[in-house]
Amino acid sequence: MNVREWALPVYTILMQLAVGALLGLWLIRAGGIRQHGRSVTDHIIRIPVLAILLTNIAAIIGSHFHLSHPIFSLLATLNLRSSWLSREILFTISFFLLVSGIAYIQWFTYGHSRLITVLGWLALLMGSLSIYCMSHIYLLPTHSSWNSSLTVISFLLSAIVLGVTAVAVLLVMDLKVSEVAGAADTAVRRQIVHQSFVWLAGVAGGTAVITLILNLILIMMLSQGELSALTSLFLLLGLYQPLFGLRYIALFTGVGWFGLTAYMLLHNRKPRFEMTTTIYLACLLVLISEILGRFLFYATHVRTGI
Amino acid sequence: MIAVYFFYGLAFFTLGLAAGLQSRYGDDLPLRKQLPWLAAFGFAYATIAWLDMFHTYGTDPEVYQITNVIRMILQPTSGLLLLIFGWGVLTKIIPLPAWSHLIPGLLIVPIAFVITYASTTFITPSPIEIPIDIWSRYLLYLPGSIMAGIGFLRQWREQKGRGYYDVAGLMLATGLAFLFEAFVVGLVVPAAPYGPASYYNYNRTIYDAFSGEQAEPEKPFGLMNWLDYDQVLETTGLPIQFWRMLSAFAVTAFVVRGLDVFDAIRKRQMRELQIERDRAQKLAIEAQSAARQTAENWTDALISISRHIAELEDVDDILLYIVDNGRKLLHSNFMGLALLTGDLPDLELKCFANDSQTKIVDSPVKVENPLILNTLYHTGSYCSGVGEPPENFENLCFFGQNVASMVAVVQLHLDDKPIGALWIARHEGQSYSETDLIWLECLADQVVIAIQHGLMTSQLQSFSIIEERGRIAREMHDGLAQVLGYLNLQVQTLETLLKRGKQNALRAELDQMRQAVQLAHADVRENILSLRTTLANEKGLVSAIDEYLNEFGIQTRIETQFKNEVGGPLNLASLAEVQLVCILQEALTNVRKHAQANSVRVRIVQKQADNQCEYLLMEVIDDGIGFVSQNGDMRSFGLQTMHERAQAVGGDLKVHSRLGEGTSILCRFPCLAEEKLRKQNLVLQ
Repeated sequence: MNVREWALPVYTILMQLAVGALLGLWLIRAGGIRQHGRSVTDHIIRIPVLAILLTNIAAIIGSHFHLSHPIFSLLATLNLRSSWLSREILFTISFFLLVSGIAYIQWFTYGHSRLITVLGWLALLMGSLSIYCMSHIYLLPTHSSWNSSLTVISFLLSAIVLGVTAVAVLLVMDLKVSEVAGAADTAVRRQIVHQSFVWLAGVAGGTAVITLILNLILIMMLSQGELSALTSLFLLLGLYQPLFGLRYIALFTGVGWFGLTAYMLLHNRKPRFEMTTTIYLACLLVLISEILGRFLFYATHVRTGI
Repeated sequence: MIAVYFFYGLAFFTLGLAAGLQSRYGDDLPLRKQLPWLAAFGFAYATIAWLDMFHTYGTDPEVYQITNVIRMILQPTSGLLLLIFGWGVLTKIIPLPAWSHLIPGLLIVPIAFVITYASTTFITPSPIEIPIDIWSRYLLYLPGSIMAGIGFLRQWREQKGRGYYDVAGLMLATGLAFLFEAFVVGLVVPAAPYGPASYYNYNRTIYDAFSGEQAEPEKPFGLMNWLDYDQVLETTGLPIQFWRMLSAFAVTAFVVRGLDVFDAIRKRQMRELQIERDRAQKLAIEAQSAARQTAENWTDALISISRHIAELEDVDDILLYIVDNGRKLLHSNFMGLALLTGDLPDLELKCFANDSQTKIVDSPVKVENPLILNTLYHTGSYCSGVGEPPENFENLCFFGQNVASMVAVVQLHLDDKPIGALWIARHEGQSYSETDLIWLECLADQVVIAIQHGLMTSQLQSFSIIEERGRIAREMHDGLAQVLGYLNLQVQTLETLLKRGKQNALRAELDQMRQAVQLAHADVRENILSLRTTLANEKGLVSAIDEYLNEFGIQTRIETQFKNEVGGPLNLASLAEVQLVCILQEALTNVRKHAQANSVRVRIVQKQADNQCEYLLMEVIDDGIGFVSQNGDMRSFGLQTMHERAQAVGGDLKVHSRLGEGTSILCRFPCLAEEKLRKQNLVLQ
């Protein structure tokens, strides 16, 4: 895979990360509104929403590096009836516009909390559809390693595991900034972090396990497939075996680290400074794992026929 | 090339050595605390350079394998050390702004992509030391050097802002040196068959990891095609090792020089702090001295006022003294004292002091200033501030032309009732402080005490006159009145005897009358003597006794003898002296009236009791007829009084008498210790 092709992992991973993070953030927001009120909660999630928007923008920009003529990228939306790519782009743009709308309301207007709620769930819908369409692009009969529902599920699982770890980082990052700046609502942020970390880590752990199981199922399927499938399996367990191993070491180390941090935080056994560092490291490992997984996804496919 | 590698390594070794030596000073400069990491980096990188020298020279394959492994371990290690140093310089020396804490979170994604990409390059067929070298440079040397560079550039701005332009220049140079190092050490990498090195190493072959095929690129990646060892050599004529060596020397020179300048600045700051501290201490001592002087002045003034009061001086004089001294001590142009007078009390000026005179006001001057009246009836004390209406300062400085601009007023109160007001005023200058107000209240207390004392003195004088009149009345009733009554009866008897012509009886009665008149005359003269004998004169107790005895002897024709065996002062309390004289007078009256004595001897002597305390003993011994005393029973009223007088001042009195053997009275009074006596004298003075 040459450097230009890295635009694909960049786009898919960043898009999945943005959608997953928004999902995690919106669930936390729902809980936060019940406990602390709408205005406080919306104020607290301003920076995380902005970070999600920036991730989305980076994903869209990154995707253009894959194109021979980036300037004509919008033409790809013209085949909505037949092309999953067109639909993916449409939903991605919708997601971008909706998240932009949320960020605009949060940073440049006051109130409109219910509108933010609706826009957020709509954005999540668009984002999920975008990931679904994204995965369907790869369901090609000529690519036996891709052509199964496992691709769709693994893309959605990637969004979840990336999202929950990313949202943890966003919350911790925001808490750190508010602590340094001496913000008035720091205590609320701290409480939100304390309350959300346990279930975020739990979701991340569960998703990691399911991802591993799916990968094992994929390996079994490839081992029973035709030549291209066997070639893919050979590449995965042969040339790319170190990366395959590294992907799961990173995933479970990151998720485990996240879980340990959440456990210690729950029992007040870890200072917040260490929490910041460990959460950053956990997210970094999970991201590396997922990028490696996506690299392996692209690198191990073997086309059947010409 | 071997020489180049040698000096290349030597440059970084020098950097490590210099940083290590500088870090050993052990002071608390934040930059110095980061130097061990730079030192470790320098030594590690020097080792890498020298290993490259041996590899270039050619070594045994087995040795090469070992040294190559060491090199592969050392390269990321040295990069990590540089990264830690850079992070420390960036974050530990000057605190980062709050927003910068967002950066690590935002950098996670790109870092993850770069690391992942880097990890994928390790599976290419190229020798493993190549990706280790490349990614050590990209991921460790480059960010480490950039962070150090940015850290020093922040120092440059900081020092420039403080006005330390010499240090600022060095910090700028150090920052640029680190950025140069970031370029030559972190960005120029060996040729490799994968991006991004393959992008700017335009003439390299592309290696497809999957197919294992090599292919020439269709077009050169010309964006940064000179970031290559060969291109650097071709373009500059010097190998990359030379430029890296140059960057190491630059970093060494500027860091070491920067630390020296930091030290110089620290010393300069310490000197400035010392000077500032000395100046502050001097000011504090001066302020303390001034405060002490003020306190002493005030203490002297208050003691002086108290002394004037104790000496029973005229109240008006005391009040004048207070306002005059108060005005000077409070640095004011005017000080006034007004008292409430009349049934519908008006506040009238009693006395004042200004820059030219101090006087009691003879004719009534009514005080109607609102600030004074408000203080008198409501607030109790007041100090004018900024923004006071000008009309409030009118009618404050009486008997003068200038108008006050600041004023402080306090209430005079007696038994929780306002009796007047005391105020000070300035025509210009600074406002009165809280301390001034406190001092003014102290003066007000003294004014009230003086007034109270004057009232009490008048009352005491009245009581003394009444008491003295009562005593004279008793004396007249007991002596002169009885004699006159007796004479009245005798005159009637004389008339009867005269009518009957009994000359002998008449003569006898006349003799008796003469004796009675003589007795009455003696009583009157003695009373006059007693009244005249006081301790008010300055001759003292001994002289008073001496004079009294002489006069007594002349009047009564009883021989008197006075013997003072005390060499120095008697050391008696003033009240004891009074009681002693009274006892002596009573004793001599008894001698005259009852003892039929020819002589009386008085002796005073000072003795020491068992408890080491001194006492004064007075003996009054006569050679009269004496009397019978049963167990010292003091049934005589006069003796009883004498006894009580002695007890009142802590002394005692004993009377010894036998019929035909005269009478002796021993009176013992305790002496005061010298210190106590000195204080008493001070009080009296």
